[in-house]
Amino acid sequence: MSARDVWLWYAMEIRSALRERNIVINSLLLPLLLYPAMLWLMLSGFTFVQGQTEGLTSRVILVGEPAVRDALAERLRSVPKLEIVGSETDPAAGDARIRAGEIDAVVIVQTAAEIGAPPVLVEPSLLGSCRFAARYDESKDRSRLSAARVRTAVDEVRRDVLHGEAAARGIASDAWQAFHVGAVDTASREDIGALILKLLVPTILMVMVSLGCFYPAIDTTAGERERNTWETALSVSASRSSIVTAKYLYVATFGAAAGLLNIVTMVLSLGPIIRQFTRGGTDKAAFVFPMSAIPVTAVGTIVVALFVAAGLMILASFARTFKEGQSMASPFYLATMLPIMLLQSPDIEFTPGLALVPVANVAMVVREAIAGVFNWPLIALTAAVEIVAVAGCLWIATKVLAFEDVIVGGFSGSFFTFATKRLGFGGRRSKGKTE
Amino acid sequence: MSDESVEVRDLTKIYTDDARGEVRAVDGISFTCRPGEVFGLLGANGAGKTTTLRMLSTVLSPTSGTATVAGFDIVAGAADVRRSIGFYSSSTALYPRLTARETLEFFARINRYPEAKVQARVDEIISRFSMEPFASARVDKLSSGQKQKVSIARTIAHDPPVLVFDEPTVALDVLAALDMRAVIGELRDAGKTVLFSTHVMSEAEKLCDRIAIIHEGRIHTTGTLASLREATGLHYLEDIFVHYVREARADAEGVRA
Repeated sequence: MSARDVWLWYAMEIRSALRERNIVINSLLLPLLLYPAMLWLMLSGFTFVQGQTEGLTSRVILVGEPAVRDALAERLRSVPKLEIVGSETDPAAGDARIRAGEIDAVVIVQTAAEIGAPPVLVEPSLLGSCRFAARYDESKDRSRLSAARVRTAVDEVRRDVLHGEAAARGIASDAWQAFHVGAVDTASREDIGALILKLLVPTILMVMVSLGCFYPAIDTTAGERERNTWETALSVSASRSSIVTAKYLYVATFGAAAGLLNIVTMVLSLGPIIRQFTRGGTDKAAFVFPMSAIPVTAVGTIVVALFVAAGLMILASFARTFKEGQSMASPFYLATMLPIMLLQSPDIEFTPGLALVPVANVAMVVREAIAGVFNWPLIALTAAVEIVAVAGCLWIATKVLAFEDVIVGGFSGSFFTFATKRLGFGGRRSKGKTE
Repeated sequence: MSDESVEVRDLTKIYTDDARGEVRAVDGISFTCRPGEVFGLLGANGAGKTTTLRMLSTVLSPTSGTATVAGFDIVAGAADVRRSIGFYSSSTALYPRLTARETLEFFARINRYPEAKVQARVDEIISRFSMEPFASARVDKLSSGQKQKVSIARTIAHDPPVLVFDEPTVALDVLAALDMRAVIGELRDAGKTVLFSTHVMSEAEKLCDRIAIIHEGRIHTTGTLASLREATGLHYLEDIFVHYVREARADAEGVRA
């Protein structure tokens, strides 16, 4: 293998790729623009829907004894965006009307007599000894919001009753409200930012590395066959190992570039976008990517890019057309995503077991590094696992390259057919090795 | 060291096909080519021409036999062989996203033409093939005739002593085919060895200094057009070709009987 040949071929592949619209869009523009654009769209949509829902008037009916019903209706009438639209005697009829979308919530009022509770109030009032229950449909935004409004309003009634009762018993409000439960948020703006970054960045980083590798891997293998340039490549003086190495480095470069570009753009855009939707007032988070996390993230990104590039190239090298390459490489592409999906919980711990899962382990290392945690034994285990995974892929690649018919495109079938027939996986092995 | 630029001895290629079993695509062929000679492999489709040329260009490795190209063994010195040849076939397309000039520069460099002379060499080729109007255009924007010029130009970008052309005029229009033949003539005059395959009799008649008739993986005769005429008593190459193919079939049937 010649370093000069590898460099010449690598430079040619990069130059060609930068002129291919699909590769530039998927490997460079998407990582740069997709997630800021998605976040902006998501928050815009959320704000719009939230605004629409909050502007609606809640339609509520009351169920219960007429006297208490009327008393409650009188109290609720003053609540903004809450309209009492009638009454029912049967709660089930109210539920049916919620399902039909005619109303948003039902308030059931039960008197002390109905529930058999003994009188306890010194200062009896009509609503004071009642129990209230709001019925609503959790699957409907409007119903959920109405139930919340009803709860707030009824809570006001409850508070008034308690104040009256306390006064009647000669207890000052300060005295019976002395017991407070409070909470103080000790997280800094940077901590809040890190929490969001450590949930978003590792997942999206791995997705972007895979996406960044996907098109170049297919283009440089199946695409070569489809364009009839593969034989051109095989007839130049550069060795096959030089050509394959250059192609491999080119695919890994695009994967790593996609991942790293994405981190930069996310860190730069998250703050301004989120501030825009919180109207600048609630500037609770500072999105700062810690300097100490940069080396681990960069190395992790490159290692994952090397692994994903190798896996995708092996599968796509059996395809004769770009489309065939896409279908052959897609299972591996999706397989690299699956473990990452499991990491969405903020409380998941980085364990030795998780360190054994390629891609997901690097995502965990990056996640911890963003939070300022560096568990070196697990980082070492992750590095070892990734190196073994890359070495495994390269070993398979050398097996594939040993078969001339695979190299020149004479082999018919996918990698799985090859593994079964030529490598003997699954107990079958046939001839075909001609070199 | 031999004066021959291409020497082929008992070259054989056997494919192992899962469905058909062993396939002898090339069966013990031998021939030689000299510098300044156009040598034609004449055969029908599936005769073994492409497999032979692919072995000589080291794209495929032989099952048995030996061959040297420009003095280098096609197995032991594969990289040297590839540096010494320009290989063109219908399967050796151009990289579509490079410009014509970039293509020539790349192939000159990757085939180890001296770096200091690359630009001058590329300029010379662009001028020779009248490629100036489209030298800066991307290959995928070129017409098929322009692509053809770039394809041929890239095979000689590194000034190899041996050119291997597999059916170079297939799918070309009349004028482009004429251009191609002119280029082959020029290369011969420049002292290059041109080894090419064809199934077009008129092309072989006009271009070849010597012709090998290949059928079912075997070479049945080799010689100049004049010697083939003399040996068969036939004038037209088409008749000569049919004569040898029939003879080969009769021999095969005799063996089977």
